[in-house]
Amino acid sequence: MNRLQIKNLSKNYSNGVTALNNLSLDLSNGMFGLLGPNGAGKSTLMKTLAGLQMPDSGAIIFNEVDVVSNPRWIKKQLGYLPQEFGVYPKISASQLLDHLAILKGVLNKNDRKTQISALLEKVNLYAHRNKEVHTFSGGMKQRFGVAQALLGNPQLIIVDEPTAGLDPEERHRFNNLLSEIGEQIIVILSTHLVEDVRNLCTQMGIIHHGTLLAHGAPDFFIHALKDSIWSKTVDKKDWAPYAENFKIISSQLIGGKLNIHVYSAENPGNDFVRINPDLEDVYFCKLLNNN
Amino acid sequence: MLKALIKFEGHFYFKKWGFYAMLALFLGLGFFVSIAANFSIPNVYKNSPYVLTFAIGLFSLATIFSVTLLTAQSLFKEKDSRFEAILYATPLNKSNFLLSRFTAIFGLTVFSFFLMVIGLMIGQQLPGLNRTEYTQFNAWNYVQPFLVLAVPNAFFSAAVVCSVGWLTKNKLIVYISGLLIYILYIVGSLFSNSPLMAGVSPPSAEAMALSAKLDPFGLVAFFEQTQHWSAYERNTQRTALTGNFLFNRILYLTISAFILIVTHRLFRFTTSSEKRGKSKIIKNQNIHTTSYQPTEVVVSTESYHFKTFFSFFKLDLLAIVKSIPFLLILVIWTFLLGVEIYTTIDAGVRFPEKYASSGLMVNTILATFPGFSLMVILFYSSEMVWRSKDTGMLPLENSTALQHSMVFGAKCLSLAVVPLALLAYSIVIGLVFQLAFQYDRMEWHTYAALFYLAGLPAILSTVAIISIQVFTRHKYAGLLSAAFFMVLTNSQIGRRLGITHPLLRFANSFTGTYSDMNGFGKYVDAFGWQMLYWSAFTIIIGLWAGHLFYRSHFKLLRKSNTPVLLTILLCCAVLVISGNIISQKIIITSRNAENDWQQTYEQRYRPYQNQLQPTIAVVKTNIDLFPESNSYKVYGTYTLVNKTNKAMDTLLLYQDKSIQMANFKISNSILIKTDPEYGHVIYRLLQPLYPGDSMQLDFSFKYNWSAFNRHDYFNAIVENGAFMRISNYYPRVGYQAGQEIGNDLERKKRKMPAATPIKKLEEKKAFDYDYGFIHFDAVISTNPDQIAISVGELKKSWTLQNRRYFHYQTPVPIPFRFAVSSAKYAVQKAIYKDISIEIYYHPGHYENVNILLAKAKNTLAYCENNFGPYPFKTIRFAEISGFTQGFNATAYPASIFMNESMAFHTNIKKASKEAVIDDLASHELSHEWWGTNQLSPDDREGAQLLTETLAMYTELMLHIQEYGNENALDKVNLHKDLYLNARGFSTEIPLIKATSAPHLFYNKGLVVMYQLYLLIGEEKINAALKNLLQKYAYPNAPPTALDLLHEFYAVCDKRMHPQIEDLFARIILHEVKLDRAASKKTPRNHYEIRVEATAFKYEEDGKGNRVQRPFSEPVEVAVYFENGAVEKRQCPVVHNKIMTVMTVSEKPLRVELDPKLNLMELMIGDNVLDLQ
Repeated sequence: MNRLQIKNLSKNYSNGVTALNNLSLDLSNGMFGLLGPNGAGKSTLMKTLAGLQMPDSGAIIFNEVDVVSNPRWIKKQLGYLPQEFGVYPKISASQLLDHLAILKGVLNKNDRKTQISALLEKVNLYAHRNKEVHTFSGGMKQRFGVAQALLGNPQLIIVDEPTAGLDPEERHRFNNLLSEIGEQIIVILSTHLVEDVRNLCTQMGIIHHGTLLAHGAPDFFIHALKDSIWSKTVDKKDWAPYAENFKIISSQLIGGKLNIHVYSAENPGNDFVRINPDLEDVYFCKLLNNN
Repeated sequence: MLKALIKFEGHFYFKKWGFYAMLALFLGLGFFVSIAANFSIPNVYKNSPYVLTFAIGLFSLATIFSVTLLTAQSLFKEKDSRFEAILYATPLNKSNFLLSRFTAIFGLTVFSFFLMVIGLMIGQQLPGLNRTEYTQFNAWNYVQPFLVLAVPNAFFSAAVVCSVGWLTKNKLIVYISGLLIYILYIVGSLFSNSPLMAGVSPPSAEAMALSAKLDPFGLVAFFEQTQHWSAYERNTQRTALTGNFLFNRILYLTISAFILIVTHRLFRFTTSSEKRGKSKIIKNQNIHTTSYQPTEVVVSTESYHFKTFFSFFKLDLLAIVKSIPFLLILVIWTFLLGVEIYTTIDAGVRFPEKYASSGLMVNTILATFPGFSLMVILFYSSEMVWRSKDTGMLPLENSTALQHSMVFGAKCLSLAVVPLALLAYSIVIGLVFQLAFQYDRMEWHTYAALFYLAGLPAILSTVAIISIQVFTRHKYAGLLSAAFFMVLTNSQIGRRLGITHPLLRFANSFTGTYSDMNGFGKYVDAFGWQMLYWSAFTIIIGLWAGHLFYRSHFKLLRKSNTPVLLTILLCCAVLVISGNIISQKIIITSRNAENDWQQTYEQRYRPYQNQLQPTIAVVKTNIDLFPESNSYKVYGTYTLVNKTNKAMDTLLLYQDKSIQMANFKISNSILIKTDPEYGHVIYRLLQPLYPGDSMQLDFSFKYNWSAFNRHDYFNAIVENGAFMRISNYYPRVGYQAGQEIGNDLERKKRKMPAATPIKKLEEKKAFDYDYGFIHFDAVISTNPDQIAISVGELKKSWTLQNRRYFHYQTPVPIPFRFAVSSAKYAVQKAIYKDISIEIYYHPGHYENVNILLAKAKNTLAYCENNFGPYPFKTIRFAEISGFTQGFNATAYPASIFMNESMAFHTNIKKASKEAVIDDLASHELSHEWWGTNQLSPDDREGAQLLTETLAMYTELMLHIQEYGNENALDKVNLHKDLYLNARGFSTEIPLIKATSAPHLFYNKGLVVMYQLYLLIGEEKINAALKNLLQKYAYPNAPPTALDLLHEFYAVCDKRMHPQIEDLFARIILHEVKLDRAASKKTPRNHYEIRVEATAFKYEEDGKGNRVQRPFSEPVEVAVYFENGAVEKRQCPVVHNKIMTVMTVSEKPLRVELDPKLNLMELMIGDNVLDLQ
C-alpha cells in the first residue's frame, strides 16, 4: 500500500499569484479526483508532486521519504501525464516509448520490449506503433500519454486534465483505462469534469485559489446534500430576479430554457422541485460557499 | 487595408530589441568600413566613386543576412505563436498579405543598409582623417551605388528568401536559402576578376562577360566595366548603367519580379499541414503479447546514466540526420568543396594542372572546412539545446529520474558528430577526386590527421557553442552570442579587431599547410599545446554549463560532486600551465611595433650612412644544419678590404634582428657600442685600415625558430626541404637603408624626413664602382640522410660522426648573396657539353625531372649560343619545401631553387599551353647571365629591366622556339592582361625606370620585348644583348637601363628609335576599333573587302591623365579565309582612321585588326568582325 502525504504545501509565483496555499492531503492506493476551476492551482500541485517545481514551503512525503529533498525517489516510481506535452517529430510511437522507458530506468532491452508491446496493446495503439507520434490524432496522442505514464514501475500516477479535447467515445475508453490501473496504485486525476470524478474516483478533493475546500469520498458529499437541492426550469430573462432571491448554485440551459439549482435546507416554494443531488451540485456548492 | 497591414508589419519589428541591434549593427558596419576597411589604391581617393561603389557593392551582400533574419522572424510569427489558423480564416486578401509582408522585409532591409551608407558617409567626414586621401564630398557618389547595387541586390535576396519561406513554410530552409544565395555569389566571383579572389588568374574576356551578366549581385559586372580604369577614371567616374552592368541589373530585377509573381500564384492560405500518416486502414491485428506488468526499474547505476545518455544521443543524432537541411548541407558542401578542390587542381590558365595528391585535398579541406563547420554547428545548436522544450517533451522527460548532465553531454556529442561526419565526408570527396584525376597515391595518415587538426577544434567549438547557449538561457540571444563569440575568436574580423593572441583565439583549426616534403612540420607541436589549453578551457565551461543546464530545468540544490571538482581543478592546472608555456613562446608584434623599430633604427644609425666602411671580399664559413630541431649554427671568417681611398678606424656591423647576435672576434680593436635590439655593434680599430689593406673578422651565430610563431619564409630551417637565403642573416657592414620605412604616408605620419632615395636612372655612374662581390667558401653539414645544396661548385663531400659534409666554393666572384637548402633528395644528372646538369628532387616528385633536364639543356644551348658562355661547370635545380613562400623559383650562382608547390609536381602532360616548367627553367637559368654574377646592375631605377625583363625575354624566345608564335601569342596576351589589370592600382612609371612594380618589369616587360621582337627581330635583339654583356658584365662597370636602350638603338635603323623609345621610356596605349568590314563579290569572281576602323594612340603620365598622340605606325589588318589561309596587310592610319579596300580571290570569313599584338591595347574585343 502506497501513501502520499502532502503537508502545508505553499507556492507563490513571482508575479504575485498564490498558486498553493497551505495545502495538505493524505492519499493511499486508489483514484483520487482533484476538481477545481481553471487557475485553481491544480496544475501547480501536479507539477510540484512530479518534482518539476519546488514548493516554497511544506513537505511531500511518499512512502515515508521526503520528496522535496529527494526528488529522484518519487520520479523513479512516477507516471506523469501532463496537461500539455509534445513529442519529437519523425519518431515512431515505439521508438519514443523506448526512449522514455530508458529514462524511467527499464534498462533491460527485453523487458522494455515486452512492456512496450503490452502497453501499446493496452492503449490500443499496437497497430500504430510504427507511426510517428506527432501525426497522431488527439485521442491517440492522449492514449500514448497514458502508455508512457505506465512505463516502468509506477506507484504514483498523475494525470492532468487528460480528457480535454477528446470525443465522448475516446473519453470513455480513456476512463476505462485509468480505472483499471487505479486499483493497485495511487492515481491522481486532475480535472474540471465532475462526471469523470464521479465515474472513476473513490476519493476526491476540491481546490480553489490554491486552497483545498473539501476532501473525501464523492458519495459522502452527495449524501450530505440530500434533500437540500431544488431545481426549476425558468425563462432565460427571469434569471436575474431568481439570482437575487435564491442561492443559485448552478444554472444550465436545457432545450433553450434555463434549469436552475438552488441550495436550501427547506422548500424554497415558487414551484421548485426537490431533486437528488449529484456530484456537480456538490462541486458548485463548495465553490459557492467559498466565495 | 494594405497601408494598415504594412504599418502593422512595421510595428512587429519595432517592438523587437533584435531589430534595433541590427540597425545599430549596420550603422556600425558603415563606420567600421570607413575606418578599418582598407581599399587603398594609390592615387585613388577613399571616397572616390570607384572605392565607394566597391565597398557598398561588396557589403550589399550583408543584405542577404538581414533579409534571411527578417524573413525567418516575420514569415513564421503566426506559426510560432500558433495563430495561423485564425489568420488564414480571416477574409484577408492574399495579394495584400504577401505584398505588405514583402514590402516590410524589403523596406526594412533597404533602410538598414541605408544606415550603413550613412555610417560610411559620416565616418569619412570625421575629423582627424588624413584629408589628402579624400576628394571633394559628393553625396551622389554614395547614393548612386546604393541605388544601382544595394537596392536591387536586397530586392533579389528578399524575393528569393521570402518565396522560399512562403512556399516551403519551413524556417530552416529559409536559412539555407540565404546561405545558397551567398554561395551563388562565391561561384560568380570565382569566374570573375574580382580583386577579392586574389591570386586567381585573369579569366578570358568571354568568361568575364558571361559572369558579368549572370552574377546576381552585379559585382562582376562592376569589375568588368572598371577593370582597366586608370586612377583618374576611378576618381571621377561612376559606374555607368550601360552594357553588361545594365543587362545584369535588369535581368535580376526581372528574375526577382518573376519569382514573386510565381510565388503569389502558388501560395495558399493554408496551415502548414503536418503530414498525416498515410490514411491506410490499419486492421486490428491479432497479437498475443503478455498483458501489462509493471517492470522493475533501476535509476542509480552507471548503466542507467550511460543508457539515458545514449538514448538522447541516438534521438538527437537521428533528428539531425533525418532533417532536410542536413541533406542540403551535404549538397552545398559537396558543391563548395568540389569547386574549391577543382579550382586548386586546375590552378587557372596561367599554371599547369596540379596532381590530385592527398596533400592538396587536405590543404583544401583545412582551408575551407573550419568556417563551414562552425556555421553548421551554430545552425543546429539552438535547435538541439532547446529541443526538449520546443517540442514539448520536457515535462515527460523531466518527470523521470534522469540526470541532466547526461542530456547535456548527449547533446554535445550528437552535435559534435555532425562536423566529424562532415569531415569524413570531405575525405570521401577528396578520395573521389584523387580517383577521378587518376592520382592513386592515397596518404591515409595525412587524411587521418584532419580529425585532429580540424576535427578536435570542431568538437571543442561544439561544446563551447552549446555552453554559451545554456549560459544565456534564451534561444535567439544564445545563438547570437555564440555566433558573436565565434566571429570574434575564429574569424579574420576578430583578427582585425586585434584579437590575435592564441590564448584569445578559441580552438582555431590548424592554420599551417601540408607539404609533401615536410608534412605539417613543427606547427603540429604548437597546435598541440593550444589544443591542450583550449581542451582544458572547454571542459571547464562544459562542466559549468552542464551544471547550469540542470538548473535551468530544475531549481534544485545539487550535492557537490568530488570527481567533477577534481576534474575542474585538474583542468585549471592544465590551463594555467599550457597558457603559460604558450604565452612565453609567443611573440606578438603589431604593425606599429615593426614601424617603431624601423623608425628608431633609422634615427640611430642613419648618421652612419656615409661613414666609409670596408667591403667584404672573402667569406669562409661553416654552416651546421639541424633540420629536426629547426636550427642551424654558423661559424665564419670575413676578409674585409678597404676599397676606398681613405683610412678607416670605425667598423659598424649589422645583423638581422631575428638572429641572436653573433660573437665577433676582431684583433686589435675595441668594442665601443653594442645594440642587440637594433642589430648593430661598433668597433674602434686600434690600427686604422688603410686603402687597399685588409683585415679578418671572425664570427659565429646560431638561429632557430619556434612553431608558436610564424617561421621566416626565407629562413625556413625545417625537417625536410629546408631553404634559407642565408646571406640575409650573415653579419653586414654599415647602415642598412633597406630597414627604413618605405611607405611615404607612414613616414609623413611619423614626421620623418624622406627615405634614402633610390638612385635616379640618369645619375652618373661611380667612377670606380665597387661590386662588393665575394669569394665564397662554405662547408655545410647536415643530417646523414640529407643533401645540402649551396652556390658555386661542390668541391668535396664526406661523412663524419654521423653528419654529412659538403664543401662549396665559387670559382668566380659572386655577389654577397648565397643560399642553402637541405633535404632527403633523389638525384638525377645529365651532361650538356662540359656542364653537369643536376636535379635534386623529392623522391615522390619524379614526374617532371626529365622534362626539366631537357629544358635546361635547351636554355644552356640558347644562352651560350646567343649571349656568352655559362660561367660554372654545374647547374643544379633543387626542390625546396612549401614552407618557403614568396617565389616559385629563385636563381643563385650555379644553383636554382624551386618550390615544391610549382614545377616539380604539376601535371604538365595535360597542358601544352601552360608550359610553366619550360618557362620557369629557362627564366631562372637565364638569370645566370642576367642577374646573378655576370650582369649585375647597381641598385637604381630600371635595374630590374636588366635582370627580370631580360629573363622574361629569354623565356619568351625559348617558348617560341618550342611552341611557335601562335602559342606564344596567348602568353603575351596573358601578360598584357596582368599588366593592364595591375596598373590601375598604382602610379605607373615608364618601364625603363621601373623599380618596385613587378607588373611592369615582368608583365609589361615581356609584352614590350615581344613587340620589340616583332619590330627588329630576334637576331638584332640578341646581338644587342651580347654587346651589353661584353661591355658591362663583371668586372666592368655595370650598365643602366639606358645603356640597354642604346644597345638596341645601335643594332637597328634610326627610323625605329622613336618606336623603341615609346616602348621603353613612355607609357603608350592604343585604342583601335574595327567599325565596319564588308565583302562583296566582284564580276571576276573575286571578293572586294572594305574595312573601316578607328585608331588612337595615347600617352599617359602614370597618374591617369592622357594626351592623344599622332598614330604614325601602320596597323596590321588580317583577313581569314575559309580554307584556313590568312592574308595580312599593313594599313596606314590617317586622321585616326583606317580605310582600306582589298581584293582577294578566295571567300573571306573574318577580318581582324592587329592580330599579332603589335599594339598595347586596352580592349581587343572590338578588333574582329565576321564577314557576311
